[in-house]
Amino acid sequence: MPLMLGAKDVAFPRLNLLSFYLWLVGALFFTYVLLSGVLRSAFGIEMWGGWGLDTGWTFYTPYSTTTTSSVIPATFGAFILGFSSILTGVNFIATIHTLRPKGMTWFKMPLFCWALYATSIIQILATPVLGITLLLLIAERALHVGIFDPKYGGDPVLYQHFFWFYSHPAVYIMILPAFGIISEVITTFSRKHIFGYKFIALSSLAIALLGFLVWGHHMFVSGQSAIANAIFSAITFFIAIPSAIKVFNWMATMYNGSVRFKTPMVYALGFIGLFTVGGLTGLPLAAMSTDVPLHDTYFVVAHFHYVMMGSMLFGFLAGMYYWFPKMFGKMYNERVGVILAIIVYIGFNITFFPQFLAGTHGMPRRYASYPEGYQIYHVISSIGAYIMGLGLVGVLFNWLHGLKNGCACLSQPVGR
Amino acid sequence: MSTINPAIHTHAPAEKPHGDNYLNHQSGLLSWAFTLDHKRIGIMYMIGVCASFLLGGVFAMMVRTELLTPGPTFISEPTANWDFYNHMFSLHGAVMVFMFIIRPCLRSWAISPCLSCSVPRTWPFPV
Repeated sequence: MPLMLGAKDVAFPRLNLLSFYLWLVGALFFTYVLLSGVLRSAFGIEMWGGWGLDTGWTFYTPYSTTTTSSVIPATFGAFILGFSSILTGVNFIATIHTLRPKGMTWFKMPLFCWALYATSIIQILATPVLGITLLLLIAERALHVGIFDPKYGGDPVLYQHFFWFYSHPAVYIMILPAFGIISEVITTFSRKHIFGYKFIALSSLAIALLGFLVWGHHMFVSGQSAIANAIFSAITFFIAIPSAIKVFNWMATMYNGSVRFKTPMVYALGFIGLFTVGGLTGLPLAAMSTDVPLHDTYFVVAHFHYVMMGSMLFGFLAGMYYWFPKMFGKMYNERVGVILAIIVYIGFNITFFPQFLAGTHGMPRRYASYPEGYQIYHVISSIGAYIMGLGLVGVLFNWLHGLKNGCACLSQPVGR
Repeated sequence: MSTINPAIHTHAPAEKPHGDNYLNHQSGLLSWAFTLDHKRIGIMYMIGVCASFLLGGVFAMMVRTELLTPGPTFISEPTANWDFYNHMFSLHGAVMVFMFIIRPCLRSWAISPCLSCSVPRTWPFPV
């Protein structure tokens, strides 16, 4: 991004490095805690301080205040990772505000920078809430202060409010930069200007704003009032508007363009497909009447993976392939890249589409065992996961091969 | 260079001699560990992010393998060690969310050496 802005570096390079080290320390600590739990439960290996984590990633109370696993170290790890996130958000906002070159007005900024700006706003406003929530959870477990645990006069649902007040905006932290990458990739490989620049730019901000007002749609069955449910449901539908604006503008950009099906573009097209499926299946989850039967089923798992894993991962891979030559001055094998992109796309759909069906038939999420009637969905899903896994390993080898043997003749390779 | 912190030298060469770039401008582990060059930090993020994804992905595969049959599949048969499943499941979710997707994944892009769109939007052909 600094280079996109014509700046040599971010506004605070030392903060940038600090943020990386916070992430590294947090990640190593987090991994240690989680892996120790796996080793202990699988092989009975005792590691110092390692009881692992068995709450799922959400740390939901009341289970997380009563389980014997290492919730305190794990939440502390997530807390450190959160700080890393806040610092980066500060850095990006400062960079975008102060280091734009003369003449680059806000509406001449690359769309990726707009996406990062919206992301950074969410990071700064939402991540501290997660930090505080996790600290409260630690206090609850260590000191029994009575915030979340009814035994001490707390309310477990309060945790859900706090948690989703962060975690719903967080999904936009994940997806907005991917939107930005896709905007860049599509315009490059369609050889056209982006259609509706201002709408795409402002829809990022609209998503950032609306994202703060919809956390209750994760909690339709948690016993919140009917009026709260109705309002959260309505605002959730509003989010579909800026998201759809982006999708339609990308389509309009490709329309009558000279589309080149290079690897990043294949990933970008995959992104549009997966994001559309993921977005549209979000609507039945936003409507209360259909959410109640679908809540906590594999339908939600599939929806989540389509939006997060499908869209975000495809955005990541599109960006990785798009900027690979620029980063390393070497070229990957284009044909292999396209084939792998298609394999990953097919594997992804085989993995997660059956989960929609399993969910509508009532398969609850998170369960380790299930009635035999659901086995067919799980078998198909697992086979798809292996295909996708093989494809992704292939992608890694494609990059490594490109790094080692790739054509070094490309100094301005992007957009071929 | 920024007007905010003019004292910081980011090790990014202004005029690149032939064959010299941010990857080989300085060598040695310490030059990476203490670098202030956003491009190098971006690369380090990228490696860390890919490693996190690999870790989360391996456990996704293990969870999917376990779910192949209605009962216990590979977790220790006689006692059906569901605790193992809970830990695998939590590791997949927590690593993917907190270490991969929420934060650093696309942030690594943000500070990485991507140049492509420094091209003004008004150029007739976005190259």
